[in-house]
Amino acid sequence: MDDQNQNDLLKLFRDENSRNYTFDLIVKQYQKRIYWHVRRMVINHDDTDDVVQNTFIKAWNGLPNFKEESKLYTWLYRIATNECITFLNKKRRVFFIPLHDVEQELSNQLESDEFYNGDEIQLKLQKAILTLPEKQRLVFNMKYYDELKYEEMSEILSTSVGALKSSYHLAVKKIETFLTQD
Amino acid sequence: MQNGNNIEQLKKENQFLVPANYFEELPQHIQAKRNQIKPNTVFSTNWYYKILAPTMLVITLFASYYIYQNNTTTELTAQEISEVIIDQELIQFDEEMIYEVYAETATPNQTESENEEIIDYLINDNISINLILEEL
Repeated sequence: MDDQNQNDLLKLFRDENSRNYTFDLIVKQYQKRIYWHVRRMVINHDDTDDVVQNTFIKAWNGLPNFKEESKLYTWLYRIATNECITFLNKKRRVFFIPLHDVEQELSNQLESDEFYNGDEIQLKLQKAILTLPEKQRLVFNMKYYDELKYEEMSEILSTSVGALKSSYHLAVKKIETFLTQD
Repeated sequence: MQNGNNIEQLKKENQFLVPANYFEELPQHIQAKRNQIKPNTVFSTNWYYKILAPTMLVITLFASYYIYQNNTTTELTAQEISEVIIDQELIQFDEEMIYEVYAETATPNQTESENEEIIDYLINDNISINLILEEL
C-alpha cells in the first residue's frame, strides 16, 4: 500500500460514517501478512487466531490516535509482534515452563499439527528456527519469510539496523549448523 | 537445494495451513469481537478528557473549599453568637432571652462563696463590718 492509499484509508476511518467499513478494509488488506507473521512465532493455528484477533482489536482501539509517523503496516506489525511476545510470556508463566522449553513444546506441536504440511527438510528448518532465542527468531522470520527491509524491522522492533543485521546473520549461521546435524 | 545447509537455497514455501475459509471469515470474527467492546470507549477519548478534566477541577476546588472551611472555624464568644443570631434574624429572640443565654455562658469574675471568704478574711483582720459593707 502506498502512502496516498494509506492516507485515503485513514481519512475514511476518521469519518464516523465510514469507520467500520474502512476498518474492515484494513483487516482484509493486512490479515494474511499479520497472520503468517504471528503463526511463525506461535506455531499453533488456534493460538495464532487469538493473537491475530487481539492485534486487530488493539489496532481498532489505537487507530484514532495513530500519528502517521510510521506506515500503517509497520504499526500493525509492531502490535502483532508485541502480542506474540506477550502470548509466549504468558504461556511460560501459566505453565511454569523454563525459557527454552516453550520453543521445545512448539517444536513438538509442529510434528503433530494437522495444519502443517512441511516436508522433512522444511520441518527441520522450522525446528532449527525454534532453537533460536525469541528476538533472533523474530528477526529471522521477518527478514527471511516476510522479506522486510532492515529499516522497517528497525521501526517495528525499536532496534538499530546494525544490531538487526548481525542478529540475522547469527541466526542464519545457527540454523545452517542445525541443518547439517543429523 | 533440498538437502544442503545453505538456507538461501531452500525453497521458501509456506508450509503452514489454515482451516477452510479462515481468511474469508476472520474479518467477521474481528467485527463481532469489536462489537463486544462498550460503545463510546473507543473514539471518545478526546471528548472524554475535555469533559472530565474541567469536571474534576471543579470537584477538586469545591472539595478544597469545604475542607478549608471545616479546618478554619473560629470560636465565637457568647456575645458574638447573639449578635450573629440577631443580625441574620435566624431566630426571633427578645432581649431578655439573649441576656439569659449570655448570663449562663459568661463567666462571673467572682462567685458568691469567694465574696464571703473575702468578707470573713477582712472581719478577722479587725476591719469594721460597716466599712466593708460601704465598700461593697
